[in-house]
Parts: sequence; structure tokens; C-alpha cells
Amino acid sequence: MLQFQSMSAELEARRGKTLVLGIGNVIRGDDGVGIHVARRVAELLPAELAATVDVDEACTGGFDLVDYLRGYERAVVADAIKTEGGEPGTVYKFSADALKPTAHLGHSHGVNLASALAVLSGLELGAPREVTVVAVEAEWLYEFKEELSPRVAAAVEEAAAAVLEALKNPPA
Amino acid sequence: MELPPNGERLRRMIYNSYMFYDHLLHFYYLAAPDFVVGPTADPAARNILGLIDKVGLETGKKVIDMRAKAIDVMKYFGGKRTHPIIALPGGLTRPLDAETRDEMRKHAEEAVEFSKFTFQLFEDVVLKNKEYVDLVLSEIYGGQQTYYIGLVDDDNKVEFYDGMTRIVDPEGNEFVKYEGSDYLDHIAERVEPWTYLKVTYLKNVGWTGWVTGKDSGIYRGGPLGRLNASEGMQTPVAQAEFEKMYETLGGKPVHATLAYHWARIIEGAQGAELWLKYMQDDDILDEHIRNIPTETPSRGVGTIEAARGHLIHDYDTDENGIVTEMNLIVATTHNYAGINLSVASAAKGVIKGGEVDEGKLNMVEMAFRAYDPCMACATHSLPGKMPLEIEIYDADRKLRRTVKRNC
Repeated sequence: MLQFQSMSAELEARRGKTLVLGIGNVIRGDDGVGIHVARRVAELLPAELAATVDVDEACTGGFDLVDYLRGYERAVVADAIKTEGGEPGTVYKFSADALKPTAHLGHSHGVNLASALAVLSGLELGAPREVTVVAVEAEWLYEFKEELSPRVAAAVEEAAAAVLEALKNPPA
Repeated sequence: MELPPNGERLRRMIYNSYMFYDHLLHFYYLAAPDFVVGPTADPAARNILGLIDKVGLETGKKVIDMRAKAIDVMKYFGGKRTHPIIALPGGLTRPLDAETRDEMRKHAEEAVEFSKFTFQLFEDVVLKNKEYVDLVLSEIYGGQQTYYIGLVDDDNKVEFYDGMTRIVDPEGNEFVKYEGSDYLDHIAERVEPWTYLKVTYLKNVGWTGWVTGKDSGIYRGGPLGRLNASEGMQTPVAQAEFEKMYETLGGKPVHATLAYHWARIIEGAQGAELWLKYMQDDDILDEHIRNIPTETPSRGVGTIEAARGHLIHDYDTDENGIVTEMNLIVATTHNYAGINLSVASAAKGVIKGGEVDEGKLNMVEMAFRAYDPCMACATHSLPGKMPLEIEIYDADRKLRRTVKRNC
């Protein structure tokens, strides 16, 4: 029988732990790179971190991110990114503090990562103390493909290493 | 094929818990800041955090808590919080055990109580403020006299999960009532060159352009549309507020776009009450929850009320059950004409002499936000980039400025 864990039990289990969260949609080409990175991190995760790190996948954004992040001590988020003139496959690592909340909220699906974190901290609901973003510059964002573009696929290993580095050497 | 009774009962229970939390979230996080913090307040404060400043941290926490408890229901049956797989052909994934039922029943009781609290908050913040009531009823937000659509039960009460589709005219009289599978006889879709969304209208009234009234086939769904298309709510707490809303706003139907928010919390209460009702029924522990399909279907039409409005899925399948044709008309598509008219009305009402500021823009946005639209769900195009051209005209219809992106 499928084991069921309520949110309150989940929150208890998250106490003091770090979340690696891959965000994206794996049938939309490079949009799914965050999921691919998270899966690679799960494969490479050293045994000594296994008890304190959860690896999860979020094929969603919006307000659901509140539930994913809530209660963790720290989080490393892997996602695709599109920057002006960025070279596909480039890996970036930065603090989520650099992200801006959604400017005009018209609907609950419009809640972005920064907005979700603002809700958690504003409500004193257990926002991760520190959130690192590892982002991969995407090329194929608007095509229905299950594979990544060649340059982005080649960057998965580097991005996974960046996530593991963040886990081993968290910011002070 | 037929579902076993408890397959349907469980699906209804789950669906109503969803309706409760989805409406709750929209009201507190997207709608309430406009009223509690103020429609023209600094955008930096006009959000959930600004709301917490006014109503207290505990209320904000309670919303998140209630949402998590409602989503726990979906997680139990679907294994995860987002995109859970719950419904299967002929039933659903797993039965409910008594221990979990007892726990979740307490959560459903909390949901009903929180719905009552929300009505009280709405009374204190909106209804006791004449300025806000006047705003809700103002011509700016109230001029769209359209038809309305929604599912109803056998007594013409608001129904989310299953039922006949009922459409009423702008005066509230029943125009037509039909089985969802006959939707093509009643709903038509048209393509406009300036938008990625299709625009739906009533086939048997016709498209007469961007106008409202009885001769225009434009209709609206979603919370207010459903209440207007019904003769009441199925549950007592929601019904009492339903009666209060129509009494306060001048009778049925109500056309005021901002009343969508009131209708939304009324529906949320019905969701909570039905969630509880099913949890109080011991038959919900029956383990016969699925009949295994024995035939391959060739066509299926599903009609349901999503939180945002009427939702139609239509599939044709081949002998292997593979989809060969499909048509989805999602909630925001049904409301798209209404959204455009409401936004245009608000813009004309609040922007005068070309003077635009953040407060006025938000008052226009309020007309959009009332529908809780999901443009991503409704836009069935993935061109790789979004060519966008905005033409700004003055009152004399003279083109003053064109803004272009990706075109």
C-alpha cells in the first residue's frame, strides 16, 4: 500500500535538512534541464549527505513552490534560464536573493520562486535560510521534445557538480 | 461505463476539497489585498504581506495550513501534491482507510469553520466599507450584461463535479440546459487575428461583436457565472451567503465583475461543506472503488467545473485507445470575451485625459484578476516567441503610439 505522509509529518521530517529541487517540464526541451540536473545529483549524491539532503522534482511553478520549500533549512534550486544574449549551456550559480518577486499577480499560477520565498518568510512559515539557484542557459524552450539541446545536455554534468559544490560548501 | 458508488463518492469528496482550497488561495492572496490594503495602495504593499499587516499573521498562516490539509487529500490518493494521478478509468487509485478518514474529517470541519471566518472578514473589510460596495456596483466594473454558464444538479443548484450544463440569459432566465456531450450544438469558437486564444460564444444567439446584452452570444462562467446560472447552493452555509449576496447587490443575476470574489468564497464554502459531508458518510470507507473497463471507447466528452470556470474535454480514440482528435475548451477561454469587455470597461472608467498611474493600472488589473484567469492554460500556441504589438489610440481614435516586440 502506498505510504501517505501528511504535510505536518513532512515538515517534521524536513527539519534541518537541505532540498535539491529540480524545476521544469521534461517534455518541453531545455525547460526540463533542472529535472535532469536533479536526477544526476541524486545519482552522484555522496553517502554522507544522503541523510541530510532530499532531492525532489517540481514540474510546476506558482504557489506550489511554497509547499516544496517550506520547512527546509537550505535549498538548492536547479532550473533553466533565458538571459539576454546568453550562450546556451552556460551554467550560473547565484543566490535567490537576486530574483525579483512577480510584479503583477493576476492568478495563483503567476507566483514565482522569489514570491514563494517572500510568502514563506513573511508568514514565518519556515523559509529556507539560504537558497542557491543553479541555472542553465536554455536554447529549446518552446518545442515539445523529451531531449535536451546538445549544448544544454552537455552542461548537465557541470550543473550537477555546481549543485554538489553548493551542498558541500554552503555559503556562510 | 459506470463507476462503483464509492468510486464516485471519493472523487466528489476530493474534488470539493480542491474547490475549497483553490478558491481560498485566490481570495486571500490575489483578491483581498486590493480591498484590505486598498486598490490604489503602493504595489509594494498591495500583496499578501501587506494583507498580513492588516489582518494578522495568524490568518495568513491559517490559509497556508488549510491549503496544505486540502492538498493532503489529493496526495493520499495521487501520491504527490502536484499533478497527482487520482482518477482512473472506472474509478480511482485507492480506498480510504478509517484512520486517515478520521484525521481528514477534522480538516474538513476546520475548512467549514474557516469559510465562515472568511465570510466575516469579507463583511468587515468589504461590505462595511461603502466605498468598496459602491466600487463593486459601479458602472466601471458592472456593465457587462452577459449570458452565464455553469453545471447544475437535479435541483439547479451549483454543481462542480457532474451535472447538466445550464445557461441563463442576461435577465437570469434559463436559456438552455443540455448534456455536456452536446456542447457542440451550443458553444462555438472563433478566431481573432490579434490573440492566441479562441473566443467562445453561444451558437444559437450568434456572434455580434464585442457587445453585451441579450442579442450577443457572449457568456461568462466561473464563480459568479455559475451562481447566476443556478438557483442556489447545495449546502446551508454557502446558501445563506448566496442569498445575502444577491440581496446586497440588487437581485439575480449580478453582472458586477468584482462580485466574482464574493461568489468565489461562497463556492469555497460549498466545497468545504461537501468535503465534510462525504467524510461523514461511513460508506466512504467502502473498498470497491473501481470497475475495470472491458471495452475500448471511441469518443468521450467530459464537462466539469474547474475553479476558474467551465471546462470541456472532448476526445476521439482509435481501436487501441490512442487519441486521434481532441478539443479542449478551458475555463479562461469561456471567459475570454468577458475578460476583454471587463478590462476595456475598467480602463475607460478609470483612465481619463490620458493620465495613468499605478493605482489606476491596478484598478484595471482588478477587472482581469476577478476571473482568476490562466492565460497559459487557454493559449494553445507555442510559437517560440510571442510577437506582440500594442496600438494606443486617443479619444478621437487617432493612433498615438505603437509598441512592438518580436515582430
